[in-house]
Amino acid sequence: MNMPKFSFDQILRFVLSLNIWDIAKSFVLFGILLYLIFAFVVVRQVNLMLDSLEVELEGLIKFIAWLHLFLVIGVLVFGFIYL
Amino acid sequence: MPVLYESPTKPELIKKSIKKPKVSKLEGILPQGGKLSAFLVRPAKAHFQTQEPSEEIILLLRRHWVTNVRWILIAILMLAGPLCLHSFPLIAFLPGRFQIMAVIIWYLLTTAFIFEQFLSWYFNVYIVTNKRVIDLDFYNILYYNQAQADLKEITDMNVTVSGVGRLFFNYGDLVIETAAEAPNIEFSRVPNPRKVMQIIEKLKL
Repeated sequence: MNMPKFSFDQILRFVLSLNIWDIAKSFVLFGILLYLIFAFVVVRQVNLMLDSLEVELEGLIKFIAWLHLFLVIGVLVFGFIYL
Repeated sequence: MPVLYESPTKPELIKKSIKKPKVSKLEGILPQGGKLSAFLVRPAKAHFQTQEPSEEIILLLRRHWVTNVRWILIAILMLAGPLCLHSFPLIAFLPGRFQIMAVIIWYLLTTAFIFEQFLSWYFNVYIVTNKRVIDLDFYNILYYNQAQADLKEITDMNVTVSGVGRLFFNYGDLVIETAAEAPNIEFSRVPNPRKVMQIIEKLKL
């Protein structure tokens, strides 16, 4: 296999050409993506909890869990566009 | 003259047909508690997964509301956090768009913190039915445990109310010892633990 070869000089030039805020943006978006997984887990957990124990506030609790998930998706989209 | 018809309403027959009403174990245990109560007596709209058709929830207990004060104060501080940025410009070195994003993410984390703490309080319940006692635990979003014991298996109960706060707000721990191999069941920081013990004693009879 022919792998493209980069000289040290090329790599250094590439690194120096990077914008620090672009790197920061990718870190922020990666963080929000991880948070999105957490929000999915929360929705799943709420469903499991409500399966184990049916309570009066069932509708409200489900609504908050889904609202939280959609908020995170919204923030992720906002981050992609705005940052 | 021969007796053609004998009335069934003889005094002896009436006496036999009247049975003495059974004294219900639930007599005097009246429904009590709201949607966010920590001490619910015979809740109408509560049901747990392993509940049998003939089983009725007599008590549904949560930690006393005072135990939530700590995380509520933390949540208030977290909500007020970004307001302090005017006085302490900790993120002033960031470009404007990153500052806004930081505040949004902060409030998202605050929402998650409040919701998780509330879920932890709301779903960690202790249930007393007319047949058994159950301890439902959701320690965090990934761990679930259910411990239970039949009322008949209960051998002893101990109530502990220690400390000024617990005495003042009348909450404490109730340890239920069982004859079974399963470990004891502990109702931790429940409101009015003596009353809980009395109700369980009544149900055991």
